[in-house]
Amino acid sequence: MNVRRLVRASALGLWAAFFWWLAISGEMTRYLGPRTYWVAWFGAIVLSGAALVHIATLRAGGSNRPTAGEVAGLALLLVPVLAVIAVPEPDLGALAAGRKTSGIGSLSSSIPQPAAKPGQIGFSDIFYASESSEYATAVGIVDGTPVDLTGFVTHPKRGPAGTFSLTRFYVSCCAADAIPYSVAIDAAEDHVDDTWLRIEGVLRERAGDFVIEPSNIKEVGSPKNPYLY
Amino acid sequence: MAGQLALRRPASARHVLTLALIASGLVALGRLSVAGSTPEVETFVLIFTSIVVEALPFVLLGALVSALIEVYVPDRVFHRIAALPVGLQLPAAAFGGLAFPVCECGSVPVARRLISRGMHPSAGLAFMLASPILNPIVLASTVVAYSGRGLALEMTVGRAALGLLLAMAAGWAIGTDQARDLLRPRPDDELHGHDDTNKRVAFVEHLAGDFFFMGRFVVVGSALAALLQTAIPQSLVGGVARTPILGSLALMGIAYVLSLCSEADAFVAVSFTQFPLGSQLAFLVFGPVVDAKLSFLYGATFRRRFVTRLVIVAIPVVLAGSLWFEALVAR
Repeated sequence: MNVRRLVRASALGLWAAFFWWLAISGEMTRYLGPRTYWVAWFGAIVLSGAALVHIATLRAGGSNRPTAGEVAGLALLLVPVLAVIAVPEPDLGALAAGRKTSGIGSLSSSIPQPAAKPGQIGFSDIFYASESSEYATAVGIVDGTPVDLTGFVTHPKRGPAGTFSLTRFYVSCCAADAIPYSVAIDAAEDHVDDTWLRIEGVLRERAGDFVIEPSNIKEVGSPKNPYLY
Repeated sequence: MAGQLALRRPASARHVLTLALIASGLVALGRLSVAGSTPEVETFVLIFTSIVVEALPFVLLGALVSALIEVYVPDRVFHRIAALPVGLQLPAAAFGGLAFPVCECGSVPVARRLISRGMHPSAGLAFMLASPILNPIVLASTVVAYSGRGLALEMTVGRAALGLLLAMAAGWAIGTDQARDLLRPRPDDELHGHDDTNKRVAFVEHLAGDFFFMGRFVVVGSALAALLQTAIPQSLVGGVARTPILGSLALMGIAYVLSLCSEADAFVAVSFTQFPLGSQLAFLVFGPVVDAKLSFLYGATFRRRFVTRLVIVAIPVVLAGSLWFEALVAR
């Protein structure tokens, strides 16, 4: 039996199984954005095919054995799979939000076109409405606009005094490109970082920024898909 | 030397068992200890895994094309390409990136294979550096990301033009006359001459060989990128945001650290609204050419000092291009 091919088939099979698991269980939403969900299916199918060809040709090439370096390289390639087993269901939270920027201090020409539909005010809409009155008008954000948002608690250094913030990440291709958008909550009670909350209330304009004056704050579990797109 | 020789020896069952025990121990430690639930560890694991999960299928796609080139494209095609003057090969290869819709991880194995089969090294490099910027998916994502700001045409044309210029300049400056002076040798370089009966097996062998070889460097580079993203706040560079030169240099540094896929980076660049447009362009052109993950991939593919030479060429070209863009478009 060709031991080298057997070892390679095992590594290909493990990665194929990992991609199948990501795709079928829906866990790929934790790591990828909708634009790249296809990569999990692509990886699963191609690696499964390559593993099967290796298994089908196990008797070819004599009793060829892999070198110690090759085995070490294959082991290195399996580190991400082991990391996911060791730390299941990891989340981006307040620490990651503090490390990433979300376009603070923007130029007026940098404001994007409104993405919100009437009645669907999101985190990014409130952020950009604070930056541009034209944007606020276009999405219908004024002092007193009702909102209903779910996110996790953060405490940005630049947030208004006496408030905490509700934050969500917007993802494009994968969690590495996640961009946090936060909205300040003007509430008497504080909450611990990374606590998931559903907050209903109205937007209030304070010194040019919109903050939420809550009427109802409810602690909720983290959603299956923690990102917005 | 002794360590290298040890790695070349056939692995014994004891080697494999030791590695399996170490891996099991680390997994068990992660599951049982509180370290697995600290925000730093969670952030690192999530970013690390997401970069690898996104990048490896592109490596696989590149390995697939590379194996097709190796096994199914006859030698005479490459003899004809090699006979063309470099002055023609170089721009043609750079424009060839328009037709290859993968990001940077996929273009490296393909370029390596093209060079090892006979394409001039300068042309192979130009293709490798141009395709992650010029390919249609990347240009389309740039259009979508900047359309909200009414700058889709300017940013997309600017990105394509500067990317093309950088690819040709770097190909011309770094490319050598001989492939062996540029490429690191690999054991599977000697696997040529496939008869029709074993072509399918050879195709899968090359596919798996490239995937395993490139994949481990993607893993190491992604770990470095995740570590930097977890440890260093991006706001550190916010203070230089409005200065065009420092802003461009700062966003090139961020592009290196983030190691984003070129098909997604425009959506991140558009969020750096405190930086001038020229600096955002620098981010969009520098990142697909040099980043933490790619440094390891280049180090494994090319000979010593390749990354240093590439950085020496890329920084002034991108900086000058971004300042020109700022002067022409953003005012």
